[in-house]
Amino acid sequence: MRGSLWKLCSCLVLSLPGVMSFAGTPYAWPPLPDKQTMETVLAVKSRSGLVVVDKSCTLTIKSYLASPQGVTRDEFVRLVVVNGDGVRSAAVALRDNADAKIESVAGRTVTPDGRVVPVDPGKDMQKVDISDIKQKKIVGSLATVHFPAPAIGAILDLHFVTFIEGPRIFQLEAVTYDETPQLHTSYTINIRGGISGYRWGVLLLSNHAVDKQLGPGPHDSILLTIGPIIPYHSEPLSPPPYLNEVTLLCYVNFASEIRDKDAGAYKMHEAVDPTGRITISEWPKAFQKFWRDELKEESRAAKVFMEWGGRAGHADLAAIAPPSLPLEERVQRLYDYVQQTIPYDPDAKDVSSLSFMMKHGQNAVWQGTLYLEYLLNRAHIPARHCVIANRYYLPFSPMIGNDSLYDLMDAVCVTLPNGQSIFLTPGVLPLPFGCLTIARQNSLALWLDSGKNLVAAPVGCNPPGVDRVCFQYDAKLTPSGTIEGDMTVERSGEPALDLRWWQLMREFRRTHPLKTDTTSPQERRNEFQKMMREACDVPGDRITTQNFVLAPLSKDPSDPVKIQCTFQGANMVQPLQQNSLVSVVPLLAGFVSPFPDRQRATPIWYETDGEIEMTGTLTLPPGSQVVDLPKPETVQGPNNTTIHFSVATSTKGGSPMLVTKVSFDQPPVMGWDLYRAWQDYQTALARLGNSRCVVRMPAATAGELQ
Amino acid sequence: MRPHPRPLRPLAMWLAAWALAALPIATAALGRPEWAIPFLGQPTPTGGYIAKNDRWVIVYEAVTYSLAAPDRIQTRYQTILENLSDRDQVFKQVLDYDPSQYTLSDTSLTVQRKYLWHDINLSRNAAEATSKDSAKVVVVGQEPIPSHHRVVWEYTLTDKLGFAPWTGDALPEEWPVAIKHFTVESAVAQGGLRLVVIAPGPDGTLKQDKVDSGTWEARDIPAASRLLSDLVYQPVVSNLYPYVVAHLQGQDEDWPTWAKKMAKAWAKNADGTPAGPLQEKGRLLTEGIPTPLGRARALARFVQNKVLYDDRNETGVNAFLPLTPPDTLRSMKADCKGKVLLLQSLLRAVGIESVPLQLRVSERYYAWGSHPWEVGLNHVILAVKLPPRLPPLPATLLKGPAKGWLLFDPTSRETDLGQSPGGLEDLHALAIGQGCLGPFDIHTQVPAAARCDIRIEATLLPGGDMAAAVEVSVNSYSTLAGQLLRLSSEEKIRTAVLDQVNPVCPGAQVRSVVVTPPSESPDGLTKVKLSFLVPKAVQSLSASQLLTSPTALALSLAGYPDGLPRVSAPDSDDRVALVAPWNARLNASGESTLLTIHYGLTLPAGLTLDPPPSAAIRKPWLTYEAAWTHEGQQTWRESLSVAVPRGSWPAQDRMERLQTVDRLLAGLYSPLLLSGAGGGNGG
Repeated sequence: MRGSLWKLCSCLVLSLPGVMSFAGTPYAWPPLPDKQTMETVLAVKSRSGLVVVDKSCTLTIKSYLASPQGVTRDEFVRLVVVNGDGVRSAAVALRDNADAKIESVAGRTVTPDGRVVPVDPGKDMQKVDISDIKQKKIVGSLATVHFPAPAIGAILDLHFVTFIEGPRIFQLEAVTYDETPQLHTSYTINIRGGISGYRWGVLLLSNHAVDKQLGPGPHDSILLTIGPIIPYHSEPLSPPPYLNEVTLLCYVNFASEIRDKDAGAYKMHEAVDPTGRITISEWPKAFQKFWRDELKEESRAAKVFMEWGGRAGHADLAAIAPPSLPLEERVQRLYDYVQQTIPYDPDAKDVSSLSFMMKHGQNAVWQGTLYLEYLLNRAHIPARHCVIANRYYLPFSPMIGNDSLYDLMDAVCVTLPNGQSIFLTPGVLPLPFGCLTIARQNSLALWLDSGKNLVAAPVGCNPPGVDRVCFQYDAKLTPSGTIEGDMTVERSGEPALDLRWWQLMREFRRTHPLKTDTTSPQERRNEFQKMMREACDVPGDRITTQNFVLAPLSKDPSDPVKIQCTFQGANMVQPLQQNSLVSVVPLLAGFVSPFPDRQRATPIWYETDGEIEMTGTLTLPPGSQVVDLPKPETVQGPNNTTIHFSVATSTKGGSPMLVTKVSFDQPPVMGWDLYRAWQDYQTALARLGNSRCVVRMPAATAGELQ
Repeated sequence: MRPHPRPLRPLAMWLAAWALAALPIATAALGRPEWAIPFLGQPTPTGGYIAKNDRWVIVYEAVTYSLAAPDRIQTRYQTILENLSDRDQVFKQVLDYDPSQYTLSDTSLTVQRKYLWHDINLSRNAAEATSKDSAKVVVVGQEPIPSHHRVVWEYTLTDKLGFAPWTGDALPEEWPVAIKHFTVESAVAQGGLRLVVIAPGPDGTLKQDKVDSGTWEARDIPAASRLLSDLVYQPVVSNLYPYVVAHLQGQDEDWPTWAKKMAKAWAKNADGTPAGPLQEKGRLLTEGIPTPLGRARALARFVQNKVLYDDRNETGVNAFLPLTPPDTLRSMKADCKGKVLLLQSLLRAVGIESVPLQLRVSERYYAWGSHPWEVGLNHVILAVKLPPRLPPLPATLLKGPAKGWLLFDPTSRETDLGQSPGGLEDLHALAIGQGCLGPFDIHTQVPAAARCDIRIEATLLPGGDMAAAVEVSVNSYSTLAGQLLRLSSEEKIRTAVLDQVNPVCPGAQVRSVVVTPPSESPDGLTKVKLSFLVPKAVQSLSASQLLTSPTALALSLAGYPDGLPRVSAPDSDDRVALVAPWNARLNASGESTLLTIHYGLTLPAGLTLDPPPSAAIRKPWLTYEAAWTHEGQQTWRESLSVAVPRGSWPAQDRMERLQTVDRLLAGLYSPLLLSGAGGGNGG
């Protein structure tokens, strides 16, 4: 056996020239652009320093019922180097999936003085073959072509062919190269095979205006031509890149009556507001029937599930939610009742009815939601079954007839007498009443009005005061200039969600261990430490936390999750002539606004939201004297956000003590139209968070510190 | 049920008894490499050098050096590991090597299952990724190894080139090691292969079995992650912990021999180049330039700025030898060697002599040593011979075989030829050329330290905002200004500046920025001019006002932190007991640096500054000076400098150094205390 691995390695290395064969007919490069075109291209601004003048791609998709199954890409791209960044980044990574095999590559540089320097595959290409030794074949290749002789004004030509084996029912890809403007793009798409009875759809998804034409091409192909594309530029805390890039989607369209060209006419840029939420002013008719059918099916399945209520039917609703109470309170009581009585069992099998779930347990969140709907129906409280989209998937739903591409969550909607609609998902067991998960906030709900009219309505953010993170600390300044103390962190509402799910699962597994689970106690300890560290994370960068104690889980999801820990902070003291400056908000010390740029094109999406409050005391060394304190301050931000900051002095055991209170809001989303105001708010938070007070230390300590 | 025939029963019983008795012997003998058997019976390693979180321990490792051919060193690695965790674990080994330099052979993986040893078929259970010039082989055992069971893993790497007749092995490793043996096969020891242990201190942990036995042993080595978390002011790891080198005696023993060999190999690469095209290129680039210095500068700027730095070729023999000039001119890309050879060839084409200088650049200190195999050379620059000038140009070498020549680094874009390049002062270098004169220390007319000079004129406006005009001058990539030179768009430059400045001046706005390359600046250094507006630069406390110090702005631009990084004590499960030599901590600096800051601050009428007193720190490892002057009614000026030399000092000064530097940085970032009224209400 010895040596066999290396023999195989050698074979693979030796076979590379074969794989990278340039034999056969050389690629016929298109004519070079004229001088006027080059002048226009060189004036284009580009972050990468490159501009794609032309990209022509022929995609041949052979799905089920065709042979051989797979996707062949034959792509030509012509770039021009427009500035020094382009000289340094004159390389193109062949864009395809990791399991794509490269069948041929050719490239060249045409220097500004007209010299043609061909790409030498041995010197200018970095290629990695992923090998499956078991099957003795290369299963995928990654390659980057580094163009020789790059210079401003040089033309970089690349042609390559790749193949991905296997059938597809959708092909999704970014149209542009990283941060590179693209002046002209064309796709010739040949699709063969698929799912019997369904057509293929071709869509171009974009959050901004793009000129495009979609029509029949030669030999029964689809021809897509796209005008200039401004590339997506990554910004701090922006939605994921796939929501911003111009994206091509070819998919089996299960809304089978839709003709391909209708599907292609859908324009994403008309449907996104400054917060990144899809807004549907006019529902395309082509999709209405598909979604009506989908929602009817949802409704039918819900009715089947609720047909047998079992124990749910025995609940004394008059006692739980007396009709004399206001509607909102009745609904809340029923919501709380559902969460208190629902059995949780992620291992439960074949949960097909409410009765079965009440007996064996909930294994998916929709079941709890239907349980509430069942009780509301029994209590004669008007409630509407709906679905809420995940905003991270919105461009792929709900307008696309392919259920592989969206993520919808069942919800119950109740309209209060004041006209306000509350969306409820009690099956998300850790969520308190009135609360939605971060991905469902600022999203879109769909339902059938009167059982037939399709309605899409915006879903808002969680009400104020529900989502909170409170830090309380009690610390002292040591003679060496560090801060150490105890901290309690309380997370409520959405910010507690992950921790509560984890805690729920952990407690369940204590009594229902998985036979296949081989997690060691050490790994459990490490996982616990990681969870706690994340839960106690603070915006500043000067403290570290340890010695975590997690309080027992309360059944009531509106109760906060409570963690106690110790913390240490460094770099909190600076000398100031004969005095010292001491950071008054240790948890925010070192915080820097993540928004230095004055402009922004994408919304801000936070991973967690809520009101954040930090209160605490910092005891100074005995004999210290507080000389001066920052003034209290309140800062107003956009969308009713506020920062409150105050610091006062007190004494503890004869030593002076700083008593600090800071609170600020962090909404789940902030629209790009409010960016400047939000940037000012964050700058103010950084300024206040790094506030210091002037302290005169006793002589010995001052010596230590300075 | 039909009974067994009676006569067979005793035989069956006997066979069963024999099988039971022989089972331990059979299982012990099955599948295990013979060399491993003596060590497999050893108990699970224990000791303070193993942390609770270490999931594997190397029970025994043998590194055996031999010769595959007279000048081809072969290294065999044989390792026994034990699963220390309390659950099954898949053994995974990533083997990363350069196939253009080494041949991999004799790979074998044997694992201990619950009862038996089992030889893993690597051709079925390994996956690999292969690239043209370097290969990474990922070997996966795929089957879980039970707790406290073992694996035996072995492979051989053979040098294919024979260019550098030595190979080294650094300690520590990814996992803790109970016993490690380094051995030269006795048969080849007489062929000239010998082992040298380079240990930093007198109590090196490596011990020779017996004098001249050819085998060295190390025991109880903690995992690398337990040792390398806090490396402030530490040298390279091979200078901190024992380092083993196997080399062929009599070959490249000393620097002159190595220099001659390199000179010959370089000349071979250069000689193949037709002179015509290079002479034509040189002529075109220097046409109409009257002086040798001007011609040399034109060629230097071409190689410096037009030939892109690209080190993708540095595998195999190309790790030692440069691309040929035609290759470099084809792609207009090269690493340091290719750039140096091209420039040397172009200079020669116009009649200017030059010599390559090999050296090692590192942020961490290293000792040069007396043999080529002790250092790990990683960079090449050039010394250019030009007619002497008075006064000498800053980059003029003061000693060594190229004394009086100009030091130039074509991979650095921050300085023009003639100005001293950054970060080279006091490094050792080896001239490889005619005469091959051996190593020397680099000292130039103006010390080639990494220099950053910042001048600020700051004005506090009546509303509390601060306007600041900043001029930065650098000779090194190690500061922000050097990095800005490589950014093309103003937007990117602004973003890079704000990333540095924002933590000190929240909300600062860059009003203008101009980056001037060395070829266009009068003194041949990189210049950056910036104009800032810092809103609410004054923090109004109840009774006093604090102004963001221009020194803090300057330090953030120069990339200095506001204190030394704090390293938290490891969790108890990650902690190990450190004994010599694994507890070694030295006191060293790898690069000489010089920061100078001069600023003027003008305050609005009614506000005054009570400046701190002038200060100075003079230590072997740091010199700091600061002085204030009051100029006119409302303007104050401060000049300060921080100089760190390259060097190594007594380890016992380390704590003092850490505390001194930490306090100094915190103090330099401190705001200024203003008194009076008129600073606005910036918060």
